Amino acid sequence: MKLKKVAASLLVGTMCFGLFAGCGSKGSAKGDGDGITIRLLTRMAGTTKQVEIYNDILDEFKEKHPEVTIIDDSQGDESAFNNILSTDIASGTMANIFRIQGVANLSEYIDNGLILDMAPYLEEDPEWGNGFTEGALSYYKVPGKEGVYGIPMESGLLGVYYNKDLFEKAGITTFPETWTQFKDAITKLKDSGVIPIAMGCQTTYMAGHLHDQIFYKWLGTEAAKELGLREKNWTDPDVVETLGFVKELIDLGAFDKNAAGMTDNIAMTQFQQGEAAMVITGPWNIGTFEDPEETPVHESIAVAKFPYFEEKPEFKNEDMQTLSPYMLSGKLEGKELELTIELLKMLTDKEAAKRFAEEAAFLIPRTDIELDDSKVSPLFADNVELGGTSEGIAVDVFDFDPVTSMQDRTRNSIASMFTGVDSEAAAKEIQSEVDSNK
Amino acid sequence: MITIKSKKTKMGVLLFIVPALVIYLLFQIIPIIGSVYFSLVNWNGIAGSTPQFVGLQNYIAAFKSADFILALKNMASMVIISVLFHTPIALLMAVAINTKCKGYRLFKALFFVPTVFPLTAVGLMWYFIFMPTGSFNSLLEAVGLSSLVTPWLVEPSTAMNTIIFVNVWAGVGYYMVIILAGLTTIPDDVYEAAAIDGATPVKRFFHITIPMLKPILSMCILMDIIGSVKVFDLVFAMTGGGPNGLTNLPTTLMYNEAFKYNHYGVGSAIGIIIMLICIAGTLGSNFLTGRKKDV
Repeated sequence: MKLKKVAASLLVGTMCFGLFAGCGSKGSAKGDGDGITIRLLTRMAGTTKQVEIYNDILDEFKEKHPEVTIIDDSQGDESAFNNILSTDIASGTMANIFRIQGVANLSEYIDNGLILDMAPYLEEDPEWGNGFTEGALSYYKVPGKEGVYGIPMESGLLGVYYNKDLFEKAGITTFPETWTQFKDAITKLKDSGVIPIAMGCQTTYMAGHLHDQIFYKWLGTEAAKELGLREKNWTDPDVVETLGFVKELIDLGAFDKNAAGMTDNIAMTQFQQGEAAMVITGPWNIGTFEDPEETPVHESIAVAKFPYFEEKPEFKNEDMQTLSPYMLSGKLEGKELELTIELLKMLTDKEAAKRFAEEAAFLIPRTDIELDDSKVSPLFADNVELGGTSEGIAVDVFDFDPVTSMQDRTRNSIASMFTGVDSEAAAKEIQSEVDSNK
Repeated sequence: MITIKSKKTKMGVLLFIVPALVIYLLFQIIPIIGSVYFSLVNWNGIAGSTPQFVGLQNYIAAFKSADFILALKNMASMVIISVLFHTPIALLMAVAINTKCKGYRLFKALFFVPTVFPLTAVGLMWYFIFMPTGSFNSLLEAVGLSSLVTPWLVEPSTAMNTIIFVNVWAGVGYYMVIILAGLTTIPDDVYEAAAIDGATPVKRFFHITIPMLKPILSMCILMDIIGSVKVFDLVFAMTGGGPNGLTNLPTTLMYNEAFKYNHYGVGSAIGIIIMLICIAGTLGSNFLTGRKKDV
């Protein structure tokens, strides 16, 4: 009987211990004992080559500093990543190295001490700091704040990847440079029996990226900032026109008839299998496009800039580029800060940039990378060359908007145009989100 | 009223109650209090920033939002259709299986299988069936019903109903097992006596089975109401709230507001509204089914 009581007490004790053990935060920025823990929350997760290099660098750091514990909470899935980031922001326990997409809300985070100003560290080590492209660094100079609040770790042109063979079969010899030529090409491609542009609106970002491209070519990248600053409205006639061009492509039959219900994966597969002639995407897919197993038509793929409008030649080189940062927690200090910066440098210095570029076709925006042409893939080299001609750079249009729901609002409304909503209605819907948050 | 006199027994009882009480307080009561607090303040979700008391503004903002009103309508459809179909279908299936016909064990297992899978997996499976190029449309084409081919999860008129259908499919097995357990408690001699008195199987069903299952059925309806109000994973996996927010439920809106847009106040207000709806549903269900406290 006594034994039973002891066993029951132990069981209850174990349950309680298990409960509280489960509540423990593995992401604590504090060191374990005398050691230091560095936590990372990035999107570098999965099985791609760039993730492999990223993990190699973490391993190198671990070898160099065996006393430091590295916790990598990085997530490939956007929702999972956002959930952890939101929790970190709400609790103030930011990872040592993390990333926040977009710049419109950085000011609030800076005011609350969540993000470290990197300017002193960039100046302190000119070999590392001066290597970044000025355009990429200035993207993280937040209006009204002194300093630089992100270290760019990925960049590249979001362009049109196309299948040269399908273009030739449709009787198109060169990639269209202007909007009119683009529409002609779409008609010819459609007549040849292929899907002109791969599109999966179920994952709404693809429709959003199409509109981003059109927006920058019609109004320029500065117009996106004007929308964010409320100097411009989504219902302004010129903005509605940008949505109208999306509708024009839909009516022209540029997309699969099932595009509205397809995911990005299905759309990408259509392109990779040679069923679709074009896809609008970023350099992160270059590795996939060059893999013969994943992309049987890999030898036919080339990249080009999104066509410009003949009426707006001044915006010919206003381009959408991807730009992602590493940010550091504003609460770091002492040895922990020193070690975190060392790791950050290892992830973004010119050696890392060279390796990422040559082995993974992943571009860290640095000017001091000496690439071995024989090791760089042609598609990547073309992307870098095209990206170098950009005169105005912006990421998504909503990146400049302080209303956090604008990512979903804009993408959902643009995607709804694939189910019959017209451009005026889509514009009104987006503008109403802005108005309701005033 | 049970009185525990022994000190040792009191300690033993306490030892077993405390862990459950701690868990209940930590994961139920404190979060509810926290949600009520956050629903009354305006907070941007950033540690260090001061929440500002705004009274009922977050509730007003939620009810002024067309998205929330649409989500409430979707939730009402989900609850009504689920309640109308879950329990009756589950009851018929349970009665059929309870006859112990040939192969009843296999049917029991088959009907219960959807309940075993996580709802996210169920949602993904049905997404692949109902996607525009999915097997359901292929089947319609194969049997010559091409005119009925529709992008079920994209077309505004069918998207929500498709999700509701999946919710009904996924839940029937669960309620069937509960009702089946209830059926086994009805003594055979009651049916035998009725049969001797000349009652037909239909009469026995309506005059013995249903009245004696009433507490079980009302519990099933109650659980169904609460479960349908709380549906989240199906929408998340099948449409993500799309097309253009048309399949959002209050639960998915709450998630978006709090975790995607950092509107913790509005998100918490929606959470409290969901809780109040659940309580109202419970009280309403008890009232309608005439369930007494001591049942």
